[in-house]
Amino acid sequence: MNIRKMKTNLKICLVLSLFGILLLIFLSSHLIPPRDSIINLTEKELDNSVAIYGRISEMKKFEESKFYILTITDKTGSITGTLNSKNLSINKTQEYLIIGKITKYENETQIIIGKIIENDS
Amino acid sequence: MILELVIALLLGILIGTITGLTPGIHINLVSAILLGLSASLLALVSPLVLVIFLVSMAMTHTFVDYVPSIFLGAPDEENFLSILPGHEMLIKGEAYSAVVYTLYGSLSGLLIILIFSPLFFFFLPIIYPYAERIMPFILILTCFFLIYFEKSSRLWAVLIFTISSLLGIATLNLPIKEPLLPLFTGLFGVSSLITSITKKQTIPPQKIKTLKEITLPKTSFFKAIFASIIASPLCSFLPGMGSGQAAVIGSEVMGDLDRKEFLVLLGAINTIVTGLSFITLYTINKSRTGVAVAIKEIIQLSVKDLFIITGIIFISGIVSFFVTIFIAKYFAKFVSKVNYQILSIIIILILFSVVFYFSSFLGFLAMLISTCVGLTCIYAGVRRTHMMGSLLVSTILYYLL
Repeated sequence: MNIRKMKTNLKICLVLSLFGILLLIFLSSHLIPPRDSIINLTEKELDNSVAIYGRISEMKKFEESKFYILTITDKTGSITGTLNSKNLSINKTQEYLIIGKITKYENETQIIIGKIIENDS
Repeated sequence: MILELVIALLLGILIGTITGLTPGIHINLVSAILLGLSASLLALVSPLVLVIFLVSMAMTHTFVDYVPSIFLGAPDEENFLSILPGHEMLIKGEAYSAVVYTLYGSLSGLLIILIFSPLFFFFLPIIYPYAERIMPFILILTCFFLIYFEKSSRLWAVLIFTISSLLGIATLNLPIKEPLLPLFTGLFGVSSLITSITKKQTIPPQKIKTLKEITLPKTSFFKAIFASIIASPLCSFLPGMGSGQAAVIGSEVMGDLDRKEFLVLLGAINTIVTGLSFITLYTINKSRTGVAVAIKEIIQLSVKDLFIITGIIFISGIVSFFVTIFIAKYFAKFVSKVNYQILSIIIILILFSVVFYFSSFLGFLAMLISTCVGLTCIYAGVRRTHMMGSLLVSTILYYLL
């Protein structure tokens, strides 16, 4: 491959990469997985991204590991969620949109929380 | 009981060979399936039988998975860095030797596991909190060395590292399954295959040397093994860490590693990280691999189980060494007989299908963009390890934020 052709290819790939990454950044911050009820979060959803509306009824903080274990409750049931965060301010009466991935820990289906968004609707 | 254990060991080696040879079929998938069936299986066999199956499968996978990566350019999430030196040796007719170098590393890894197991047993609970605190700073230093030691163009190195970092952060935050699959398939796999197609590369007949002929100077060998000893133990027990990060840390610590040394390093790291993850599970009760998660669900490990697991690691490793040599010989005879352009196109189509199946359309999109980044790096002529920014920066952020 001659040098001119390589330089052209380099430019094309760089431009496509930059546009593509901007697109992925946009999608990763705006895409919300399908909303679900807690009762439907079974083993079938393992490793899937999910979004649930619910209240955080319990919260336990592990100081040393910047780690929270939360109990999320909606009308259909409750599920344990884990969150890596230094600080978390939660209002137990407020409803939140919780986005995360379903996992299994000690035979219990749990959610690894990625984002917690206040639900204003 | 002993017959059951032997059957579990052999089945584990068989399934590990299949997962190692099949791009996209990861041992985590088999572990998840086994976990789903565990209630019924535990009515028939003891938990230890399932554990032996899982351990031997995981260890075999770490030996065999270099074959498709080196011969076909089809990587998985642990060995994607082997594509780079592996492909260079393939076009020189030395792909079989490349696989054997990874096997030398993996075999040495078995011995290192035996040495480190008692150390992990006694000291890991003590050092774990301190290691977790210093890890992000080790990674930041690694990133600095990665760019500083670029010989071609530091500006391009910074640019590739930065865009790879952004790509990694964006991909890992997308709502997709197995986000690393499209990321590394694009960055290291498809981009290499496209380059082979555009360069109209032909594959020469592969040399199948005897093991005695495939040698490495003692200093080179120990350099690679020392690098693996420094990097692997940390990456086997800390969250967010894995073989990829360990390989970059190890190679940057030791400075310039040539192709053969790097392959030995990769083989050793992959095996050590997997093997020590089982010891980690016992000592600090933390699971760092999909297989360790499954074992944790199946059995409450005792010291006796740990001894058995260590034995299984060793036996399955030795058997896998010979299995991989047998398979690599077959691939070496086969690969030069086919039209490599057509083979590359077929592999790209298979990788597209695998990514689409496991990670959906969004994953497919991430793979296409990762491919563009991979090609940019190749055309810019800088080291492709800069694309490890895609994983390193996300890991640093995980520790710091």
